[in-house]
Amino acid sequence: MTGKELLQILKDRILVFDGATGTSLQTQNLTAEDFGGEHLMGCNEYLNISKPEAPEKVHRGFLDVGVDVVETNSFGATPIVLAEYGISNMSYEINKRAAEIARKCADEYSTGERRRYVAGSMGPTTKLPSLGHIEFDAMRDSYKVQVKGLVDGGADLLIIETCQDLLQTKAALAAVYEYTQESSREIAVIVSITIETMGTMLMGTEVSAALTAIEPYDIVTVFGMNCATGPKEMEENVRYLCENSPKPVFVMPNAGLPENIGGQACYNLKPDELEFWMTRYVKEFGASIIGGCCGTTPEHITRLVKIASSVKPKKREFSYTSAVSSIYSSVSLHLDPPPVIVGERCNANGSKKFKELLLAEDYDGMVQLAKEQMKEGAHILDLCVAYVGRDEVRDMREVMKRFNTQVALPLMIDSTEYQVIEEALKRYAGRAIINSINLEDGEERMKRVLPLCRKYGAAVVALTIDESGMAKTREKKFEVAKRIRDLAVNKYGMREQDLIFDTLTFTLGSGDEEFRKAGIETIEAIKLIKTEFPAAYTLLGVSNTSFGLNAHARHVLNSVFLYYAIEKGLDLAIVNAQKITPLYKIDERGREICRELIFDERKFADASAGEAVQG
Amino acid sequence: MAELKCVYDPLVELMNFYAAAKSGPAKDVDEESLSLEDKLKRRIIDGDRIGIGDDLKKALEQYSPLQIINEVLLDGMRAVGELFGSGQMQLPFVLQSAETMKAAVKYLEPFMEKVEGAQKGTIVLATVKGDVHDIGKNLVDIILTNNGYKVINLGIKVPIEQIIEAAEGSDADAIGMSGLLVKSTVVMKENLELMEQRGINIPVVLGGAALTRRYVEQDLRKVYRGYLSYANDAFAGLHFMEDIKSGKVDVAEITNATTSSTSLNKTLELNRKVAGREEQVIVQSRSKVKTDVDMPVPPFYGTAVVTDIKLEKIWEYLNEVALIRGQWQFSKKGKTEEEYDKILKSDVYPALEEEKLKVKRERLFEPKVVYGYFPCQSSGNDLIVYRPASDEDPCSKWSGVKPHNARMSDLREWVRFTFPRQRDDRFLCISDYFRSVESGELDVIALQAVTIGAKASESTKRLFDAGNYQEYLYLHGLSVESAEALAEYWHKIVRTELGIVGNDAKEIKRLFSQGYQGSRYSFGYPACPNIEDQARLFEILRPERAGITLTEEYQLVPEQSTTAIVVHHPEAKYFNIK
Repeated sequence: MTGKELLQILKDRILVFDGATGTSLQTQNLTAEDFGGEHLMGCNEYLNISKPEAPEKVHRGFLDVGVDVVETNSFGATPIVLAEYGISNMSYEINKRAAEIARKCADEYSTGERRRYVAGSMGPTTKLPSLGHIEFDAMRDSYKVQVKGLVDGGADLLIIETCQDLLQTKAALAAVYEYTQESSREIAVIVSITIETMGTMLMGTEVSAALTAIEPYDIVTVFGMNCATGPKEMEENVRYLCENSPKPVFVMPNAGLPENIGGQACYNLKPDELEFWMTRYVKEFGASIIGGCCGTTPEHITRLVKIASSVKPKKREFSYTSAVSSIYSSVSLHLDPPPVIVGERCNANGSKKFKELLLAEDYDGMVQLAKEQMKEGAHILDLCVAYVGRDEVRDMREVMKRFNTQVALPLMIDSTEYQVIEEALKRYAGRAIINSINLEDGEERMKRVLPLCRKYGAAVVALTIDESGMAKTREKKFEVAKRIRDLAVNKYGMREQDLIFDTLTFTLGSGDEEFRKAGIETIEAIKLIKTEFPAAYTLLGVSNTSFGLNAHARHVLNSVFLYYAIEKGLDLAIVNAQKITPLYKIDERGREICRELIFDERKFADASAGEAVQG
Repeated sequence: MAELKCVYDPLVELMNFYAAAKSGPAKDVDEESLSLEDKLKRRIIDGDRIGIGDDLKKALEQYSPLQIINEVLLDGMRAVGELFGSGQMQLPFVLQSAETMKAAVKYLEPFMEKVEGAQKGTIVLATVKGDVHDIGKNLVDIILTNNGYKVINLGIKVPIEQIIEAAEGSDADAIGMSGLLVKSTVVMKENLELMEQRGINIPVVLGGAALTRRYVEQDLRKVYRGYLSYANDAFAGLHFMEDIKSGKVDVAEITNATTSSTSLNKTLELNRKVAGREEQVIVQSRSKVKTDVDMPVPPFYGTAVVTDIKLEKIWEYLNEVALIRGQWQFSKKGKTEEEYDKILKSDVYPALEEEKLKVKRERLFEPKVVYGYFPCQSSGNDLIVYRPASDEDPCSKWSGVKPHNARMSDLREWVRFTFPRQRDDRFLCISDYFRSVESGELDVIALQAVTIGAKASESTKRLFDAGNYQEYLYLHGLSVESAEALAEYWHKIVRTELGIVGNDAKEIKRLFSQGYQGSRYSFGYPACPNIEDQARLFEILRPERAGITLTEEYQLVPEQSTTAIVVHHPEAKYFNIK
């Protein structure tokens, strides 16, 4: 099933997933022999090989009560997890068998009018890449084995579930992405995160940050949450998703909070209560797929089937503004009042301090500098570790390892090397912005960078530069922006809202005749782009405008220039937040001179007549 | 077309207009243009210590090290104090400033001749006898030390003799006493009385959570002739020292005034008379607390040790307000809701998450609980806890006597608590919440001892010693509040096991204000101030099994531990013994 097909089904009705696989298997009182020996005791996934009747029984139990989708018994069937039983080499076979077993059962129950589907279950494994437990590549490759096995075994869709760490989710998505690219097959994907009782994911991620990070993935069809708590505790987050997510919402709670009784986790939620909450989520919030996680039995799930047939789902109206995120929280790409401030000091080319910290490999110092900018009012941080003679890939790796968990602000990854960009994206759990692409060498950079943006869900800054160089007039800037936009959207599968155009800032401080109108051209180009491509965003590196002037003049000119750029629709500004002053705090005369400079209001006199005219 | 000549160029105009460096925008001037002195001052205010050595090196070309400290850096600290006082700066940032100050002084030290008395003044600081809480006192130490005062920090549980000795031995200008417990306020009073008796009248500053300005300025000033001041935050200690050293407050005059007018003597005398009258108030022997409430049945008698407790579970009960406003001191003062929320979102919550992650990653907390249920009865102000009449070990789960069929004849007296009774108002006493010996019925009491473990104390100490004050404040605060959270969580378990959890408030945050049936009392707090009762609780629970020990002053070690008695009676709530 493709994502489109799944969306088509969800247009008319809600889908019901099955209940707990693991806890249902537990009730079968399986012996060591069933598991294939003492050493495999507890490896539920091996039952697909050693005792396929066991998972079959679970599937049938749920199909009997009328579910639409059964999940394969493959939650922990990645090589990473199977390695704990010494059978990582069997991962492909186990996943394939799991899908075949579920396929067989689903097909038995399918009729001409009503199909039953198989969802390939992909659990979070036992490692957290954001904490350095495992490298991204190793995790992605492990998931790739699972994806291949599940699809080959006949799964209709994939569910990446119980996500604890967004970097783990991204590794699973990178595996799906690579698999679909290599095999030219398409398959619908559901991503389901786990919000702990403390209100965030295990790594501290807020639900908004998770939505921000996953929403841009076109391979993900449905987004939602499962496990950790009962339905009641999920209310606030389900509400958030239903009000904000552009993707249909998936909800799969446990049968209540687990209580420890005699060393066993017990789930005590009554079917009545589950029905109450899930009815609310469908009818009042508009959830599209419902199911049960740990502790839910056919008795629970039969109530969900009842909801699907009797409750009219709410038609959701969501509002979503493109955003970026760190592992913790999310920042919208359009703030009110603008602009979104991109801190510029974590840049080895722009900040002497950062350069020195990088050369000394003082990572704590770099984190400190990042935190300082947060205090100064930055919303996003530009990060550039390019420095002549140093290994930029290695530096990016080391810095990103720390910044991922220690910096609460989203990052803008600033590099000209696509290898560096990918190295950074592999270590970043949030949604980053890539800085940047342009058409200097034709499509070359776009061809390298945009697939990375899609593979990791990043936004991208596009500079208005083409083969003939930096665009200087508003018409040329717009023309280059349009060319980039059309290529990105039509050829590389990006969305307009993933693009952030930088119309280039030149200094007004040189007095050079060629650049006298550079200020107006830059900000007028913003207006053209915002009018023509309303979903796209705009960005300027503000301080370039005053290059060459003394510190005070720079401060004032930067502030005034930013003011007029915002008036024309600027969304983001790369700037030292502390070196910007609100207009009302600047003396009137200074303000006026700057305005005259930006709009080139020089006065001229006819040398012969001596009469003043405006330039 | 005629040739045009430019007669007005805004670029030239702009360059001329801002040619004079000082005419920039009013605030937020560029760093490059700051004078060296202002740059250093700015570094102190911003807590920006990385690379401060370069600036100090330059400053040393013009000034002596002492001049730099006294005229430049301290100016910065003064500004920090003002920002803190007006609520424009939060404590963690103050600590960053203090760390920067410390780094600067450390850099300058080798260039200074060691001259005795270079300090601006000397103060002896101590947490008073019977109290181990020292974070406030240590903050005062940090701020005073970094402002050029000599601080003799005697540590915790310091008897008055030692304080006096240190003050006399060092010719100190003042004494600072601190303590968190209610009991410590009484100790402070006793200390002042003793100093008064010996004719000591050195200025004293007092601080601590249970103190109030009213108590210090009205009650304590009556017993002590010397200058006495109340410190409501860490900077108040600095203002106190500045006041007495600058002569703004004439210490001698205050002391003389009280002496010559003999008003103090009069007050003291009056106090005694009032006290005498109080003695004559007829104290009722029992309050009107109901005696026929439902009797819950505990799941077992005896004690149990629990070690496998999830931090996430504990943190559900974390009182974030107490942590953020109390321990971390992000005050709301002078801020709108919105501004405060912004700070919470941008600084505080990320810091909290980071701290929690760190705690988990480094396994800094090792939560443990020892708790149990026991048959008991009241007798007047006493509460009698029973043990099996047989030789069975009363500290394990009892096998001989079970809650549902226990009879008096199977039991004998084990430990007896005597709780004080209110002298007026409602004449409340904790014992009243239990069935009496006369009723012939058995009641049940739960006791609990919880700890976050010794590793937390060790780590906080290391951070303090290393001068990482901000980290210290964060970790210390989180560990203390986590111990409280664990106590709250375990109290919930106890209510669950007693079957009285149904009356709980739905929101966890309301549990912090006793949104549940019954009450949890800790020794040293208003309703049961006798800290010595800890020893009795220890005899019953033996919390040593969870690594909790008791000092001679009845303080718990590690500090991040609490004990409590849990009362199930629906009328039981906090009250004050006056």
